Amino acid sequence: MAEEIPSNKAADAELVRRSLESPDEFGHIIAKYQEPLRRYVRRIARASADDTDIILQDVFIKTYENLNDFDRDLAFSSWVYRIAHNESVDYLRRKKRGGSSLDDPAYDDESVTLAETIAADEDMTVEIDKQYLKGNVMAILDKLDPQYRAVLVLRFLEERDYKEISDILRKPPGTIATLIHRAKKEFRRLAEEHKGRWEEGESKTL
Amino acid sequence: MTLEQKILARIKTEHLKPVSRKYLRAKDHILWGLLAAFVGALGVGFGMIIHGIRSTDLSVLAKLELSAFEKVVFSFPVFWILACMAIATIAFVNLRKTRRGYRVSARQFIVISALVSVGVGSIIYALNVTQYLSRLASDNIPLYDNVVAPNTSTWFDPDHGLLSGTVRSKDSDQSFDVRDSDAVLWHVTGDDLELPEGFEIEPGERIKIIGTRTGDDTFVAREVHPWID
Repeated sequence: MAEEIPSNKAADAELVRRSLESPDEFGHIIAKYQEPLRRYVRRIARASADDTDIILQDVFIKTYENLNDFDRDLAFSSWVYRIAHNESVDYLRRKKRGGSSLDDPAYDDESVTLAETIAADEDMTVEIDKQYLKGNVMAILDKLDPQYRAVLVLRFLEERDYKEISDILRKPPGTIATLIHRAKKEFRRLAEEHKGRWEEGESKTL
Repeated sequence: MTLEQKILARIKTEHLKPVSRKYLRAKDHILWGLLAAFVGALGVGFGMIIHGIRSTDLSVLAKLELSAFEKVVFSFPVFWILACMAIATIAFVNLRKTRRGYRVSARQFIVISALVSVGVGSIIYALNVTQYLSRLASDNIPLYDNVVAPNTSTWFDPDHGLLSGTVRSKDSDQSFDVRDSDAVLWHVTGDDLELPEGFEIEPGERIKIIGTRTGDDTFVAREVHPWID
């Protein structure tokens, strides 16, 4: 499950204020958000550990440079996730444009949660068993459109509500609801397709 | 070196500073100013649409030999409709660039911008601003009548039996002089002239005439209609 970020608006606002006064204070923001953001960047950008570190550096540098642009009506975590999301998508785009293959996603125990949640939500258990999903969830997620992957990760792994997802992805809340619905449908379709191919391969090896 | 140390070192060695509040505030003001300008332009555009529709005399248009395409172009202020759509699109993109503009969905934007443009446009039209702008543009912008308001330029084609202008002097309803937009003074006659009920030809009145050209500056009128602004 997602690590709980103590999202105290006043405390974050204070950290921002202090960081504006002294760059050293910005270290507290880095310390507080680096792990949740690392996990999110890994999930969205599918980057190696080294590349994730480089992306995170850029995320925090951009955060620092734009501290004055932080909208205090937003949760700071939503704002910093937005920057991380944009950097991850940029990285993904650059990598695809460069023709390099994406890193193999590390098997993530928490991804099982995603599979289970979507499976329960979509009543997929009838057709696709949970055990199969647990072992293949990352492969299915990889095939999803990045924006579908982002909403599923944010909703089911990061456990963000619609408003927060809307603030992170800069899309209207209604669009987020539609995206989540479509993403779940697409996940289900890919899972069925993937399972069909997997079973075909299994029967050939027998 | 930890990630935190690396980032703080980069901030110091590259002398990075947060972007100034003044710059961000100015950027915000520019975006909102542009949005206000687009909303105003939408209002003017809608006012011009009302003006264009009101200046089209459908009963007269029906009597002209026009293709289906020409009828559409002459019946609707196509230019202003397209212009409003373009302005609305740019305004929407601009709105999305503002801090919280992303919270407004396309559907909400369409409803809000339609309400605002109808409201502002109706006020502008009621205050005769669009009529004034239209005449100003027609007098000063080359091709305005042909491209932007073809429904009005239709009315200046004497070779095809269409004449428009301002009545300069009048001997009778069957004989009067009209100055067209090119400042040519036409002598108009018409023994079997049809006038709409309640309408009288008076000096200073802008009119539209259907009839036949009989010379360089002479015209025999069959129908005369008031110019609706």
